[in-house]
Amino acid sequence: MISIDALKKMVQEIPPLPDLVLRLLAMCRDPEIAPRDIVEVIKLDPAITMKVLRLCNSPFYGLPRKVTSLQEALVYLGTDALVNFVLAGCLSNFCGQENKGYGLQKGELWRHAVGVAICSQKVAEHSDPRLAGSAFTCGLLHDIGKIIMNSFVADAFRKMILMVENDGYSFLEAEKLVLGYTHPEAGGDIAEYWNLPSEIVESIRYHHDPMAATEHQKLVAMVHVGNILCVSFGIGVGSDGLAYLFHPAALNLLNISIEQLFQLSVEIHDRFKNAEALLNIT
Amino acid sequence: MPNIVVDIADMKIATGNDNGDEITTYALGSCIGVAIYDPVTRIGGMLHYMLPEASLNIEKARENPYMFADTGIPMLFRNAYQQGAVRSRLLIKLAGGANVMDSSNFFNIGKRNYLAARKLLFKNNLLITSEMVGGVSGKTMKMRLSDGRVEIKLPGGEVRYI
Repeated sequence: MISIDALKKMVQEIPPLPDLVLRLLAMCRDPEIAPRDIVEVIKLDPAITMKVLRLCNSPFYGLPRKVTSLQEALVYLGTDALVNFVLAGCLSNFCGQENKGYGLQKGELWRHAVGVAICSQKVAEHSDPRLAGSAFTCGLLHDIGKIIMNSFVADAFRKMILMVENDGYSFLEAEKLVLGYTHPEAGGDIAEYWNLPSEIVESIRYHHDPMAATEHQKLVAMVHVGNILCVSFGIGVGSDGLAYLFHPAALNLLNISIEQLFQLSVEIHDRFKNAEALLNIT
Repeated sequence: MPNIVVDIADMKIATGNDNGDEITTYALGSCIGVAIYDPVTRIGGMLHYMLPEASLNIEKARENPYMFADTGIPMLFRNAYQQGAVRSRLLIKLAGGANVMDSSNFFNIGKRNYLAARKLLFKNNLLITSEMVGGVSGKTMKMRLSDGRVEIKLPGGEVRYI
């Protein structure tokens, strides 16, 4: 078994998230900050500004007219969506590469990230709309740990898949038993290393075990349900497939019935179909 | 060698030849892929539906019947018949219907999707020729239009034929 110390060391070799993203994530949680201050920060990066405007004008939001400035985008979309677009613009580089360990071709991990962001947001819109923006952010980041687990999972894949198929272990349990470290743990450690807010750290660390979250259980439950929906509909699903535990308590917490979840799936399909610009943001 | 791709909530019909043409649907999780094939006329069709019943969203079912089992499956067969496929000769193959691990059997969308197809086919006296359904793996389903052979690709590259 590879040492956990070696795996944890890899966390610190991950390139940092751009300062711009960290600043924006902090700003959009600060009630003292005015939306126009957020625009001023984004404007400092012309490449990101271009990407954000392109996303605003894609069918994803279906805006009634063409948006030509960040100020206009802010009026139509609000602060959360604007910051999420900036995050997407920066994060897609991290998630765009092939991820052999989890059987994901180039672009598939990013497709899954966008899919879970959309599903989690939709679940939040139904359950507690105030959390919709954060649910999207956490959905985008939830599987970031797979980036460093990739090569180790690739080496041990045969053994792990046999544990899933023959012994009934979940893929998460197989990661823990074979590698001693799981992709949510790795992701949580990366998020802490990046100094991301605690709600993001918890959503990543507990997205397969939402009731273990302590501070932001509802948000974590949204990402858990969003992820389960996404793998069920085969969006960016890899060789780990659907081999993860579903926690029905998450639906109770969110006050959503299984029938309502199926109905949400129809709307999620439509929203994902319009997400081409987000998927091709690199 | 054209490869016709069937998206999620989508259906395609094609006529086979000896050029190795195929119809494929990728990433079947809980969704079901239904492949039908008439070996005489070489007409083949494939459906990839997401949910069991159109009653979940009637308006959407009108807009896209391929999203649901009870509207998509009849459309698949009707389209194949219109192209010249003959009911008594049809090979009918199913794949997908995986489920996440849930001891309470609460989130059983794959199972419900599969039962919806079985019920509908049984009601219409249609027999399933072969299937690879359930489990926890995502599957890719590919049908060769020259002879109706269906290949199921599993994680790690393993391939089985049904």
